[in-house]
Amino acid sequence: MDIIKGEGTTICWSDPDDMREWFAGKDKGLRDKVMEMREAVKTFIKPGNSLMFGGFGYVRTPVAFVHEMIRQEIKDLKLLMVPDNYIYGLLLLAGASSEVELAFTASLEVRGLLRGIRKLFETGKVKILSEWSLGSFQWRLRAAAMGIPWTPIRSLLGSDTFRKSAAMQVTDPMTGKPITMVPACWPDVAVVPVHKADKYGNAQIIGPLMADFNLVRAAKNLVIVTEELVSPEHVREEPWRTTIPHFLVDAVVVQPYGAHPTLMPTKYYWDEDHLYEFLKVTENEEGAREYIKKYIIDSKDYWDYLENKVGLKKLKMLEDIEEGFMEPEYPWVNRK
Amino acid sequence: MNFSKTELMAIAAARMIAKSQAKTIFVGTGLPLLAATLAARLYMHEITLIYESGGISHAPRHLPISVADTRTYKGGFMTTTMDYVMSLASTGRIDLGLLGGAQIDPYGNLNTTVIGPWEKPLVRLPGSGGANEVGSLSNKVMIIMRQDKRKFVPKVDFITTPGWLQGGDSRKEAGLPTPSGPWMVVTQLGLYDFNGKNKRMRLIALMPGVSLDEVQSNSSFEIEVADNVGTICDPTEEEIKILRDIDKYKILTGKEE
Repeated sequence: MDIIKGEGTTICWSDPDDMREWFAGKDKGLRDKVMEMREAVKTFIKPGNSLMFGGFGYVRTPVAFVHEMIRQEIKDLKLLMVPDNYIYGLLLLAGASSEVELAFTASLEVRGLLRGIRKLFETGKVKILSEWSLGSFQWRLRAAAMGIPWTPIRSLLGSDTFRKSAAMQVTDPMTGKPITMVPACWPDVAVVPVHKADKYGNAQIIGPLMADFNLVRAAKNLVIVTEELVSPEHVREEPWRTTIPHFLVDAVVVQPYGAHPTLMPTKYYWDEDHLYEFLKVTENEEGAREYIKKYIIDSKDYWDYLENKVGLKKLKMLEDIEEGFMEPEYPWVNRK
Repeated sequence: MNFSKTELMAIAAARMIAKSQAKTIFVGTGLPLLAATLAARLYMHEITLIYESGGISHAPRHLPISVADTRTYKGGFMTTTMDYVMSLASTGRIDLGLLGGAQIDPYGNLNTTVIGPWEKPLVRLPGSGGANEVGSLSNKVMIIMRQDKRKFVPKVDFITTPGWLQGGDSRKEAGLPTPSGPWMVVTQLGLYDFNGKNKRMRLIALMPGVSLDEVQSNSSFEIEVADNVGTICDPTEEEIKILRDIDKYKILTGKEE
């Protein structure tokens, strides 16, 4: 059988039996996993790790966790940028990673493109190990969640996205037609924001689950960042709302407004002023450095950022917009 | 009534969406979303919009600024996973996919990854996102983009999303599902289909006030012209009114020319 191999490489594939051994060895007991942000970053993020975040670009993203990573000056990460924008962009600008696999980057959709991040790729400062699409990458996570080494899919065929991926193409023995085989992906760490969780890690997400449904079962270590800590009884009253069961979770970090300035469905809207500032000032390296210093390095912790760089009034306003009580304003309209 | 080129494109695209009779539509941000919403509001109340983030809903009241905006599913039918919606496309349940692009070639192959060589890019673009699946797996695809010599090129620098590849049967031979593939292109200058010889893009209608010369001089490849080229009717007052109501924050239509 002819096998066509993509030219890219992947850093999150393993033999499924090695992964079985990993998951078999984990303590899956019902135990309190609440942890301080600082400790969670220190415990779970190591240089060389492959890392994927839950949420979608700039919806339900673990900004608070990323702030702490930058404060701890974590380096040499391999980022799985599916779908990237704000937080992965922050890490790249902070020099936390120079090798990535990606499906989408450097865009705030209709708000505009992130020039500073594009430049990192254009100048070769950040190397792309492989190109993917959202569908193909999340199917890699599904394969990992099933404990299988690869899965056949019907996209990527005929494209240069395939040529630069780490997928393979074969003739399907059943139909005789060409088909794509994507390698499973087991990220070393996933950090997934949730709306509610109990101390054991039973968690509820509101709104689209994006790739998280598969990601939480693919990741070797899973940290959840919850807007709200609720009682175990609260979760068990409506178990059909649970999207992550406790034994998949390694740590529960509690951080209200932990996704600011990104959107938390049904809780708070995008901070459009902040995102616009980010878009503008990160066009050059100096602006990016100043942004990171002002908002992250100079903040003692995320609470300090919320209290002194964002403010209660702004947070309340973002809640009102998301609730539909207030009209959003888009500072970038007409200014592109 | 005055209208901009962006508004004209959205309206022409909305009319074509209605004509396609598509009931389930895979939408990306920007003009595709505006056009699909307009089609749903004006012509086809039975449309369901499906977003790569996992939202499934009817037309939003106002234009969402992202494919994961709460507005994409508020009052909608379902929120689910990316796996679920991508698999809907893979099983032939998406009637129409809508895409944009930075570059397109005569066979509807799209580039949103890189300008220049991939190894040494002149400009790095966002990459596929969900576009490769929308273009590979939807039952048919409509492309909405601005046309000029840099965007309409004989060969795209990088095939992010496959169109008819090299024309003829090449798409099917590559293993891509059937039915699928580019159906129509809408630009500020005209409408194009792929019913021409060998699945090459072919002009079928001009936008109001646009000449054949303008179409050719805004493309780096020679555009085939169908036998009876029509002209798109001017937007009606109702179309413009509803369009401006959908984009009331002027997210797209405020950005002009």
